[in-house]
Amino acid sequence: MTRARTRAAVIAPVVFAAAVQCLRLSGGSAAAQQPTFSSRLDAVRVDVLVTERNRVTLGLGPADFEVLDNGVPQTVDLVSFEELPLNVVLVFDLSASVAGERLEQLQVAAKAMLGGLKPRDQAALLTFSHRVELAHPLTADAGALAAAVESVSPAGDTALFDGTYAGMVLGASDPGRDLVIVFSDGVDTVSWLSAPQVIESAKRSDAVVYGVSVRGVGSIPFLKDVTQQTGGSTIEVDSPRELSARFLAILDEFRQRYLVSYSPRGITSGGWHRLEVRVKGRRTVTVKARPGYLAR
Amino acid sequence: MMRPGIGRRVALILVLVCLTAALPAAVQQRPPADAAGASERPSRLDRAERWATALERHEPGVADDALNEFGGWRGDDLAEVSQTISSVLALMRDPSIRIFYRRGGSIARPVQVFYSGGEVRQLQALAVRLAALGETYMLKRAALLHMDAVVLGSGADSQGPQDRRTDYVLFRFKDGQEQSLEDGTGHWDTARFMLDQVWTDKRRDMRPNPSRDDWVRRWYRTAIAYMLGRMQFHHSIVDRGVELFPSDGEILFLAGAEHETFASPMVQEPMRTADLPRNLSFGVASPRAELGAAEDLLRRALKAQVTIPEMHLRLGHVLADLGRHKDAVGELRQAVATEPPSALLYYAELFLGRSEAALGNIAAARAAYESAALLAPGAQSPLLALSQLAYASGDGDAAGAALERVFALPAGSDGGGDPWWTYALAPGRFFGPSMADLIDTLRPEPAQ
Repeated sequence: MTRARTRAAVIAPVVFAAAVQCLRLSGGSAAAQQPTFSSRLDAVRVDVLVTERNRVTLGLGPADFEVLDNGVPQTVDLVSFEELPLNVVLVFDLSASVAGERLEQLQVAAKAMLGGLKPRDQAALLTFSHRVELAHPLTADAGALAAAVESVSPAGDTALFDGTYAGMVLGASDPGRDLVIVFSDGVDTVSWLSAPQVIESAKRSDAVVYGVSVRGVGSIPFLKDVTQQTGGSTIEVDSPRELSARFLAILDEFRQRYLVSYSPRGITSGGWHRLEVRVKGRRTVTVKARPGYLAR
Repeated sequence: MMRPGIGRRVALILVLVCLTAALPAAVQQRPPADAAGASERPSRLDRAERWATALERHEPGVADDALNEFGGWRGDDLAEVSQTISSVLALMRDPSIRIFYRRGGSIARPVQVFYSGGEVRQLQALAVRLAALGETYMLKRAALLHMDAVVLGSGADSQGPQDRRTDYVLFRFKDGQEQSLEDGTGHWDTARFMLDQVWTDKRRDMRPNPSRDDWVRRWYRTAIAYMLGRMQFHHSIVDRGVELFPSDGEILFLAGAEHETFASPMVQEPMRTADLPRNLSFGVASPRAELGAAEDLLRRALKAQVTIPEMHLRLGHVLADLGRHKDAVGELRQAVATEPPSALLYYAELFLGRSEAALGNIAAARAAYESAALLAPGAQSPLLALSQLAYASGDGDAAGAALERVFALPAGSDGGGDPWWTYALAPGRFFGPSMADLIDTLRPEPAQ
């Protein structure tokens, strides 16, 4: 990780003041509101994708969203869109089974995705076989990261759970919106962490995790569980040649998500909070967001 | 621990490319069997004589030319040899016998085997020749010969890609995924057949009784340790060992370790996802059933009061996997108290951390993980566990700091970093000393 400070592990709720600071730096429309706060309030941030007939719905503001926290309606304070820089963590399975065309296409896909990043975005490469390794920390230097992508070689067994966990925590190490893309073509055989532990961690993370896997392999149930908890999705490819298009589609989709923030009111703190996010008066839209969060 | 009957005898081979020791170079470079030679199928008596020659020439524990005899042999060739040697044994015990039977497989009743007059004369000559070695000595040497054929020969009891010719199949997988189905040569089963004929005390026993022979007991211990150390499972050997020696702590322990491994994802996942023919059963039950079997065997081993340092360790791990963390902590604390070697202590602390965390004893869990991290400074598992522990309690900074320690570990892809990766292989360390002991104590019986 490039910074010693790790954003609060119980990412949701985060400290609201910190969220506001990020929005100011982004210079977006929310910053123009120049809100002032005299005290620290816990806030919840939710990444939300709104689509209608498979097309992203744009132009929504705080008043358009209806958020229920444990069934209690909340007031949405802020909605940002494409304003915060991204922290993209590529978590790649480099076990023995990836050798050959899968690796080649994975490298092509990773570099294509790096080409799609904006100047303020950062990316990192984390690999796992039985060993979890940080091939390159978060950086805005796409060239350095592309070199790291080129230098990897597969060997060993698959610690998918360990790698996914590390990717989520790594993504949270810098301010920004965290996108974690986990690629695996196999099943976990050697992790120390268990699937339930990692899924539980996903509930605490505000990273959005996307899983990419080869159709029919055993990693898919786990990836579906993790991605579902973070509001992401799992994509199954029939051929490694699809990877580039899929990675770019993930980046594109993630950029078009809203970051919805609210200060929880009328609910008890701590424990699991069930979230429902809707768009007011738009019954035909599909809203994709994490199903809940774990609060301290 | 007998398994339900299966149509074909099968063995389970797990190849851990990075984690297991590399095969000896000579084995890796071994040329394929001569196809032309393999096509000239000798008669059953000629094959038995070739087998006897290999037996006489082979020096136990040495990768000599005698082992090359088996280069082109198929599973049914060895099965045929076993049948012929059974007839030879009958003649060794009663030279006047003229009616021969075979018993084996799922056939409960003996079946008569017919030989021509010339074949009977060959059998008689072979009986005289092998009797010179001594019956029991010959059988034990034969068991070692076939163990050596696996250990020093191919490294696996395999004859190549599976073509459904034999009734003995190997399932090879790595990284949780199926690699191949191969025909097995059947060396382990042949060794087992030979040992089943051991009849040490003919005055007391009405029939062969290998369970009375300590060398046979140690052969099973050695064979199972080899299988665990190389992740090459032939569960019928393990089952037979337990069946013959139901109170032997070492065999019970190793059998328990086998079931513990069968419960792990590295075995369960490929068994679940592989597209296997329906008539194959590898004898791997559900994780819970395997853990139950492991617990039973390990508890029996403990009752046998054998002093193996990791007995409590493995039982604790099994209990934790069963979700019985309180019981697990008790066993693991005992494991720590035995002051085992540091590698085993690492496992004990690592498993303690998990069970203490599951019980909500976060401080104790953290202390155990930190101990594990000190015992194996190159290991990532305790650091990942510390990170996750912090993350679960809402301390993102501590979670990140522990993860930084993971990332700071020396890079490299060899299996030396984290002993957790090779936990399943650990009982394999008994193989070397056990094999040396077997060879040292193999003595011709005194002439009677």
